[in-house]
Amino acid sequence: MKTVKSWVLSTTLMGLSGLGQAADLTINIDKVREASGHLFLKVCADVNCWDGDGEPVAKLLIPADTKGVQHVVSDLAPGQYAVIVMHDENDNGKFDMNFMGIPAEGYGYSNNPRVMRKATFDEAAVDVSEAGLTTVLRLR
Amino acid sequence: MHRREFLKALSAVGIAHALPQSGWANGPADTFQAFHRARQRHAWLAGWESIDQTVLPRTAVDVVGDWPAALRGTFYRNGPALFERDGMRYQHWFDGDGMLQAWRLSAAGVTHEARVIDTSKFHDEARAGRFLYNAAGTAIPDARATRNADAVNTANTSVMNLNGQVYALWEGGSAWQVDTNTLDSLGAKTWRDGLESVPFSAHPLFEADGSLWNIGSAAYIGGGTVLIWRIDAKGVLQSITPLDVGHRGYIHSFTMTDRHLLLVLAPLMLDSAVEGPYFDHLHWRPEQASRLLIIDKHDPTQLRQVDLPTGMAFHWADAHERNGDIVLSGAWADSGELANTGFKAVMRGDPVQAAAPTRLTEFRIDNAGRVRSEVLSSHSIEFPEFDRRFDAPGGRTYLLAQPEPNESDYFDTVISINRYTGAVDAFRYGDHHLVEEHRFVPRPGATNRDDGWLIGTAMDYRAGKTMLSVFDACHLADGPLVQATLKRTLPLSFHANFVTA
Repeated sequence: MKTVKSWVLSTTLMGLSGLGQAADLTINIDKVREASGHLFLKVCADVNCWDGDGEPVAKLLIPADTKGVQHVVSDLAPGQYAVIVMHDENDNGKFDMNFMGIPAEGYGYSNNPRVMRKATFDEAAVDVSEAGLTTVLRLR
Repeated sequence: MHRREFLKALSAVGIAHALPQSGWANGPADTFQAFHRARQRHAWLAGWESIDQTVLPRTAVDVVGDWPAALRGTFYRNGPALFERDGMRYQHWFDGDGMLQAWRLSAAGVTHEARVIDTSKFHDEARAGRFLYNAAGTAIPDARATRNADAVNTANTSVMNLNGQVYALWEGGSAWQVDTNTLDSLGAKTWRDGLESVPFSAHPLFEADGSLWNIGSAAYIGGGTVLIWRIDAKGVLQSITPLDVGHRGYIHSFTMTDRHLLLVLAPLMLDSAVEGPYFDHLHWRPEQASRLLIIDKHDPTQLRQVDLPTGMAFHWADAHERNGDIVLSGAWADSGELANTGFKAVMRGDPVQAAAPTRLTEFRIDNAGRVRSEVLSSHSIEFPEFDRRFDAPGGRTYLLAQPEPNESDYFDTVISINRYTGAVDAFRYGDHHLVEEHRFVPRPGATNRDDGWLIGTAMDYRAGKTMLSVFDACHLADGPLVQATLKRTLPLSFHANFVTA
């Protein structure tokens, strides 16, 4: 399994939290169907970010690997985080959807909610404690 | 026998069905046990048994009678066939993986072959040795979430022939292309970039020039959008028109006149967008009308909406226009509960119990939007067929029926109703038979309406045989002209298509 580490992008968020700033969120991305392309990963700490307004805690592209991809976001303040992963299988720089807005490429959310639409922040949110969290995100 | 007498005879036997008594809160493992217990008692459940092989190689079949020299080609059938894996059985008839059958009729004789369509769903689950995804009517423990509808596309409903290509159709996602010779899967058909996994229904209708119309419904994900597909005779997409119709009702098929497409949305409504068994979230809402959409073929964005009495038809038959009236007929039931109850009951080994009989019903809508309806058969019929070269009124409607009670409570008779005289012509296959959809094939060169053959299959579950029968379409009561017999039963299929060689 390929492991990628990243650190929080925003020091502001760390500054806001006085406690336990060394929590790690380990995301194991499973069920990567195609070896081609890149996984776009975004970690949000709030609804605004999830809905595309605020800044994400982490945002990066990872080469796809059908054996799975592990990504660790370090130094998080304990709290709720939601992760979305989209697999740009054909590397065209966008997430392909059909004209009804139904995905044609792989995607998944933390907490793996079984919804037939974009998950809400609450549905995808996982709790990262001071001890950190390891979570499996299954692409669909 | 004339229509009135026939109807009287039928109503005398009492066709009212009780609602199924038992609940089915239990899971697919319990359904597996219940079915196999019932199967030991009821030979007729052969029709709903899971297929034992995923590939049935091409086999010569015995023919009794003289095969009409002009009837050459392939008779395809499709229907749900793989219902069980790893001790689990699907809880709804519509859930099974589709199996395509090909009866090939040539000068050398008749052969039969079949294979379960190698969709991506079938491929994943065959490799895993168990069901991985929720089906339309079954929750699978620890089901995988799905990317889009094609991830669970079973391609299990009908067969389309377009420009020499064969497609197995479902209604929630793409048409699934299949090799005409080997029946190998060629994958989901994307008519144009951006149309991956877009719903393409199982009953496209063809113009005389070979071009087609089809519908797609977003209702399965809770949307109120109906799609109108237009594809030319070469298989090139001409247009796809989304219509926001403000009604989230269910639609399985449609009909058309020379000027209009006629779509009826039944108030079988999806209550939730949570991923899970579709049929568990589908509820009959009789307080909401069945909505007829009258869509202009020249500009599908132009439509009229008229409310029909509450009810639904899975299958529509002929339609025409006369003096400003629009007339359409279909296999109509006053309730849509069948989708939620009867098709689940049979998976546990109980008869398919309809909440309301399905009757051939004609609706006439005048310019002012007034609706009149006339019931043309008083008992349950299904799978309407007609000579599609004609849309003027007055030809025969071919149907499956069950004129007398039988042990399976399923169709054992093929009938036609002459829509001009009301005369009924019928052939009952006999005790211990289950009958599948029959199709009309015009005699080559014939120009008279109904001059041709009715071709279809029936299973004798006691004898363990499946017969392909050919009738003179105007003389059903005379019995089959010729019959080809396969020495095994197969799960009952839904729809068939004859492709002339």
